[in-house]
Amino acid sequence: METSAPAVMPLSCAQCGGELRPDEGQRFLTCPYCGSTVFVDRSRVVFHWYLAATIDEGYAGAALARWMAGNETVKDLDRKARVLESAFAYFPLWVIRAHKDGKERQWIEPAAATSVGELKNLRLPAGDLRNYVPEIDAQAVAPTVPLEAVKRRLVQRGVAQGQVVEFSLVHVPLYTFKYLYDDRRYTAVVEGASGAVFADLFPAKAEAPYRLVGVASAAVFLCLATFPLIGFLAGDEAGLGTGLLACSLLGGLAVPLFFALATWVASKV
Amino acid sequence: MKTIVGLSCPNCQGRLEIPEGSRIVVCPYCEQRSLVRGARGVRRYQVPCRLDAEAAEQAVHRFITGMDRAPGLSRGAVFSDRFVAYLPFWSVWAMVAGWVFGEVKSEDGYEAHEVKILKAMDWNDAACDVAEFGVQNVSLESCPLEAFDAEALHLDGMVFEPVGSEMETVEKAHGFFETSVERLAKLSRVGSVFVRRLRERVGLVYYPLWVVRYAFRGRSFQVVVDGHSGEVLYGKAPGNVWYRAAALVFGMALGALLLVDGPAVAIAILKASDDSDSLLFVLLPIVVGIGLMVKAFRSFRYGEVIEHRAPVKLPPRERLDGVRELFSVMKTLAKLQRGR
Repeated sequence: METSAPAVMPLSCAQCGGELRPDEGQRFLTCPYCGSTVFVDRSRVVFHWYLAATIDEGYAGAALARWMAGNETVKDLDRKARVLESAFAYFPLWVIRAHKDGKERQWIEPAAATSVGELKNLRLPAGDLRNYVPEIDAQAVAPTVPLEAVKRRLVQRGVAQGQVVEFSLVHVPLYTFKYLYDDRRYTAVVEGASGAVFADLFPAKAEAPYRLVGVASAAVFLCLATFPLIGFLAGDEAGLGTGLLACSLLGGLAVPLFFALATWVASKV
Repeated sequence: MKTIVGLSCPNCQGRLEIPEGSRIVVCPYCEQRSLVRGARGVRRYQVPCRLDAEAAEQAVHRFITGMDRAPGLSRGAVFSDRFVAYLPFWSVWAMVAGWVFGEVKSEDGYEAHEVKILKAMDWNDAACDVAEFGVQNVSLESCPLEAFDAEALHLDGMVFEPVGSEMETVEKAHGFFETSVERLAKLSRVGSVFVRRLRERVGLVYYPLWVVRYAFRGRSFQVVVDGHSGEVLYGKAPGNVWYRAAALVFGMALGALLLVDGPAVAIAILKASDDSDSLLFVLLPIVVGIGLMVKAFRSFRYGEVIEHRAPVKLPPRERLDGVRELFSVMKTLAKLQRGR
């Protein structure tokens, strides 16, 4: 399986030649035709899976909206930005399991070239791995990175050929959105099995107003809290009383003021 | 070695059934016992799903009510879909035998001590990337385990596949067992530890989780409910601007008061009574005050989308040990302060 149109060969039973479909990680299975048990040497085969999507385009858009309304982005970004286009495709990833330094580890390499920077952060998400079916070819991006190139990259990382336990090609469902905000185009990717949103560059929430309000309120209240203490140290019980009074009066002014300020920042920024 | 190898009894060539994870198989024809060597595969189990769709939705309804949630959320939330996902968790069970050699503190100094531990232990960890589902491990303590029935599970809901490495996980479990043995020995000083694991079993437990999605004002949120216990394990909800502002202001005010005036009050009380744990008493309001102020800012800054994650259930002894350690550190600091 190395070029962009991989030759697909089904696994056949050693006794009767019937087609076998092992599940992820399965080493022993019973042939559904003749009932004999077979052992699958997973290091000699490249399994081809696809991750079943659990969300449709509508939900993907709503998941994007939730991320845009979230803690990292500009306030109400989903209302202020305009989605220009959205596209769905199954994107191929090479998943390799191999021994390195006495441990079994997993590597993920993109199997097709992409300019979408978000995908470098993609992990293999939790999902229902299913045997690849040709019906999704129309929506799938063909793998263009040959297996040989991936093997070479592994050798560079210190993994010898014999240490590889398993190669898999996994097609992951992705909704790619392009949106416009403040005359700038951005891209975000919604992964179709878990609904996770990946974005490299995005209009980020301005931290300054939050920090300003936070620091100012902390400073003011800390300052006010010292009044009773200073009063007590200066004039004992009478001083304590004055200090408490001053603290409460000024506090009574500070609390609504900061409340209004914080509400303004929380609803606008 | 070919890719597909047919397996039959070495004695009579009869058809053998080898369930994943078996070590010894018995031929159904000649009863010859054979040992499985090499890659044995992994035993799979499942925990039955006790919750139905309505119960899951009700749990989510309770989750979306609260002062810190956006106003009108419980009325305005539109449930879009719900499904069961079986998530695989690597689990390791073993009877752990340990010998810990060390010393116990007594009145005259330190006494040599040897402690033997024999305890059934278990450990589990998510076998796939659970980022959006937010559940890293589950408490399998009181769960019934059934044999894995792939077909039935696939009919019931989505079955997620493990993508991690069995070896790495098992190593983590071994590390956990060893630290548990040391902790159970309760020695003041540990010299050496020997740990042996008996009847160790590694398996994949497929745990049922209800995934419920709802939309509010065009934005969608996801909540994960434990399919066995009914508890909300992870969920997101839109926040409330008023609550965030109030949390900031009152949290900062209270925290500042505790931080500045708390130690002063503590010192005043101590001068009157002459207690021995003085440092702890003075430090406590400072720590709590700072904690309150930090929490206040975080609720304010990150309260727009609330992310709730159920706290990881540690067994009771682990929680106590954390507090015990904190107290012993405080006591040591106090002693240093007094110059002993």
